[in-house]
Amino acid sequence: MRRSAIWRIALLPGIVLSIAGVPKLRGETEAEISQNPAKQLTLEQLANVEVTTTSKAPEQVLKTSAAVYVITQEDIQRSGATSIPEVLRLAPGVEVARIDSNKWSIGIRGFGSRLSRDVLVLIDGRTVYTTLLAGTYWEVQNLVLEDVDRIEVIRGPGATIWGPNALNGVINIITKSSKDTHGLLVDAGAGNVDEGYLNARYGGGNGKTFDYRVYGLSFVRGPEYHADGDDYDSWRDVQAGFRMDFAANGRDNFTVQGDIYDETAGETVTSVTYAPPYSQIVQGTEFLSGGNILARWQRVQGEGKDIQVQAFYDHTARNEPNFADYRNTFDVDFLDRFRLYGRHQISWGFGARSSNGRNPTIVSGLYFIPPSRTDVLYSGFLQDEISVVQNRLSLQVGTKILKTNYTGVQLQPTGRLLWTPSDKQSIWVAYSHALRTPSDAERAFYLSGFTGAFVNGLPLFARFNANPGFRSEELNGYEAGYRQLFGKSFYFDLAAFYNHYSGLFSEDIIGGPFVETNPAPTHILIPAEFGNGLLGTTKGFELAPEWRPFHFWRLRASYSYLQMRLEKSANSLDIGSAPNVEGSSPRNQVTAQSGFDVTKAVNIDLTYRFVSDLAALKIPSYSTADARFAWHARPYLGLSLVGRNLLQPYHYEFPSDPGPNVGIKRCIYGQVTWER
Amino acid sequence: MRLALQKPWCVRTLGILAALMPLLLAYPATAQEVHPTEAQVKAAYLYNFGKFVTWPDHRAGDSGSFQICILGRDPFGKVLDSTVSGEKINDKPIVTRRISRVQEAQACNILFISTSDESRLPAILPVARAMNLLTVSDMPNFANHGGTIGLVLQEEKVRFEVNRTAAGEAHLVLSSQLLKVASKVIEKGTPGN
Repeated sequence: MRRSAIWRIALLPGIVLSIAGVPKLRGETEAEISQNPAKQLTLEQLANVEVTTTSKAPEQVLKTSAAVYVITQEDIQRSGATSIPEVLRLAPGVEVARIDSNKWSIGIRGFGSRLSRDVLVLIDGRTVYTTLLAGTYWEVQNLVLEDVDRIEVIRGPGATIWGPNALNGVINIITKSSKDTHGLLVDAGAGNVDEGYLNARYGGGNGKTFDYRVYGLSFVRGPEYHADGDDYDSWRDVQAGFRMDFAANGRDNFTVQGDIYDETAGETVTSVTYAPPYSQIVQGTEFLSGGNILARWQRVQGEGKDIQVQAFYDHTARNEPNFADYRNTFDVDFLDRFRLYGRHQISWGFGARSSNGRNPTIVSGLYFIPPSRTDVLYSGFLQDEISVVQNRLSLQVGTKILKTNYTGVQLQPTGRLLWTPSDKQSIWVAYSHALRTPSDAERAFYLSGFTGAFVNGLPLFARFNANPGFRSEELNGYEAGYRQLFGKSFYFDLAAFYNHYSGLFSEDIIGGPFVETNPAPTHILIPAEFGNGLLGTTKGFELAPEWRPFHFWRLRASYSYLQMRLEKSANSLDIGSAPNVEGSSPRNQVTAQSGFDVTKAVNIDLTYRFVSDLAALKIPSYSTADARFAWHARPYLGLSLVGRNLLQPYHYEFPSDPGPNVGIKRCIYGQVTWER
Repeated sequence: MRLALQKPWCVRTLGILAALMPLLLAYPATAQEVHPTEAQVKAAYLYNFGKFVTWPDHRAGDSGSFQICILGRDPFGKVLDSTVSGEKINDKPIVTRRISRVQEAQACNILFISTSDESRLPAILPVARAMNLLTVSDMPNFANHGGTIGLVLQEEKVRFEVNRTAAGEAHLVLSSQLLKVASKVIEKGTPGN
C-alpha cells in the first residue's frame, strides 16, 4: 500500500496531470467569443476576478493508461452524499451497497464486501487499509466533504504504482491544500435519517509560504428501516483535525496534517461462546476512536524531477460487542522521479510499515493467537515510462517488490501501452500481476460458529482456525480502454477487463468432528480454516459517456457489466463458498445524472440508479433516484434540499449478518452552508 | 417510526422538479455569465502582459506587429482572437499565431506554451530565451521550471507567478507594477543555464 501514498502527489502531476494539452470539455459560447469582458480589466482586477472553472476530469484522464474516474469537489457537492461511500456511487465499476446506517459493502469490478478486501483506500497518502481483517472500515473514514479536492477511483489492478492490496482497484482521496481553504466554513444540515450534522472549518495563512486549516465535524445519523423495529444502527461521530502547508524557496513543500475522532456505531453481531448460550445475537455498539498524524516533504527539482518523503502514525481503537482491536501503525515512504535520456521517466521508491495490534478476547468463540502481533511490510518499486513516439505512444513498465511478515519476496509487474492517435482520442492496453497479501484474518484468527446441534449432549461447533499456509491471492489482469472527445461537448470512456484469479480466499473444512476440551467447556468441533481454494475469472466493461449540450447542463451516464465465474480448485476442501462470492456483486449497474444550472446560483441535480439483483444473497434488483436543489442565496450563503433513495420508502441493498436485513430508507435533508 | 409517512411530500417535490425541467431548458444561456471563464481571463492576461514588459530594442525577429504565439494545442480557441482583435501594443497591431515548433517563434513577442508541450519544456525554454520571448503558460510550476510567467488557478482566481531571473536572461524588463501584482516572484535561474 505504501506506494500509493507517495504516488498520490508524485504520480498524478506526473501521469495524470501532465497529460495536459487535452481540450476542455466545454463549449465556447457566443458571448465568450464576441466580447471578452475580462479584457478591459487591469492586472489587479484580473488577479482578483473569480472565474468559472469546468471539470477537468476528462482532460486529466484522457491520456492515462488505466481505468480512472475522478470525482471532483463539484461532483461531491452536487451528489448530496453525506459520506465517502455514498460519494463512491458516482464512479462506474464501483459497487456500493449500504448494509445499514453505518456499514457498506463496497467492491470494484466484483468482490464486494463489508471491508472491501481487494481495494486499497488512501486519504492524503495515508493508507487506511488494515492488515487486521484485510480491508477498510468505511465507517471511520469521515471527512469534511467540502475540503475534499477530488477522489480518484482506479478500477483494476494498480499493482506497480499502488501496492499490494490494490488487487481490484484503488480509491485515492485527496483533500485540498490549506492554501485553498482560507476562511470560515460552516455547513449544517438536518433531515429524517441524517438527523443532524455540523461541519466547521477555519483556514488562513499568507497563501504562499504558510497556510493552515483546522476543522471539527460531528453528526448523528439515525437508523435505517428495520421491519422488526430493532433500530440498532444509529451512528454518531465527533471529529477534529488540521492541515498545515509550508512552502520554501519555490521548490520545497512541507505538509503536516492530522485527525482525531470518537465514534459510536450501532450494530448487531453473533456472539459465540463455548459455554451456554453458545450463540447469541447481540445488538450493541461499536466504540471507535483514533487519530493520525502525517508529515510529507516534497522537493521539486525541475521538470519531471522530484523527491518525496512521507511518514505517518495512526492509532485505532475499536471495541465491538464481540471483538476489539487496539492498533498503532507507523509508515515511512520515499519516492524519487527523474528523467533519463529525454524519453524515460523513471520512478522508484521504497517504504516500510509496522502495524502493532492487540486483540484481547471478548467472547470465547472469537480470538487471535497470539493476541498481540506486529505486522510488517517492506516494499520497493521501479517504473519506467517511455515515450516511444512523442505525445502519441508511450509504454510504461515496472514492478513492485514486496515482503511482509507473512510472505517472502514477491513481485508484481505491470506493463501498459497508451496510444493517442490524436489529442481527442486514446486507446490503452495493460497487463498486471497483482497480489492481496495474507492478513491476520487468515494467519492468526480463530472464528467459531455454533451449528445449533448437539452430539451426545455436547454442543457441536465449527471453527475457522488460523492457517499458517495461507498465501497471497493472485491476479493476472488484462485490461483495455478507449476514450474519445467528440467535438467539445461529448466525452466517451470505455474500459474492459478480463481478470484471472488464483489462490482466492476459500472456506475449507479440514477434518472430521472431534471432542475438544480447550477452550473449555468440552465440546465437539469441526475444524475449518481459510484457504486459497478458489479460482476463476471476472470479465466485464464499463461505459461512461458524458454530454454537455450547454455549459449550464451536464448529462452523465454509466453502465457497468460484470460476469464472475468462480470455482474451487481441484484439491480444495472449500465448503462451497464460490456461489456466494459470485452472487455478492451485481451483474448490471446503471447510473444516469443530470446537473443543471438554472442560474449560476441555482442548481438542480437529479440522479437515477439501477442495480441488478444479488442472486446468491437474495437481494432483489432496485432502482432509485436522488435529487438536490441548491440555491446560493448570497456569495457566502448556500441553501440546499437533498432527497436520496426517493423512489420507494425503503429498499434492500445488501444482507445484514446476522439478519434480518435492513432496508435503506428514503432520506431527505436540508443544508445550510455559510462561507467567508 | 417508519419512514413511509413522508412519501407524499417527497413525490411531490420530485414532481415539481420534473415539471420545472422544460422551463429551465428554455432559460437563456447568457444569464449564466456572472463570471468570465478561465479562458477569458487568461486571454486578457496575455493581452495585458504586453503593456508591462519592455522588449530589447533590436530583436532579430522584430516585425511590424506585436505577436502573441501559441505553441502546441490551443486552449483558447476564438477567445484569444476576439480579445486582441483591433488592439495595439506600442502602436503595433496585435496578431495571434499558432505554431507547433519553437523555432517558428522568431517573430513572436509573447510565447504561450500549451500544457501539451510540457514534456518538451527543457528544449523549448533555452530557444525562447535566446529569441527574447516572454514565455507564459498555465502548466503547473511553470515559473519554477524556468518559464517567465506562470498562470495559476487559486481559489477560483487566475493569478500569475513571475520568474524574474528568467525574464532577465531573455533581456526583458518587467515593470514594477507587474511584479507587484504577481502572486509570487521567483529569483531562480533556468535549469541548464
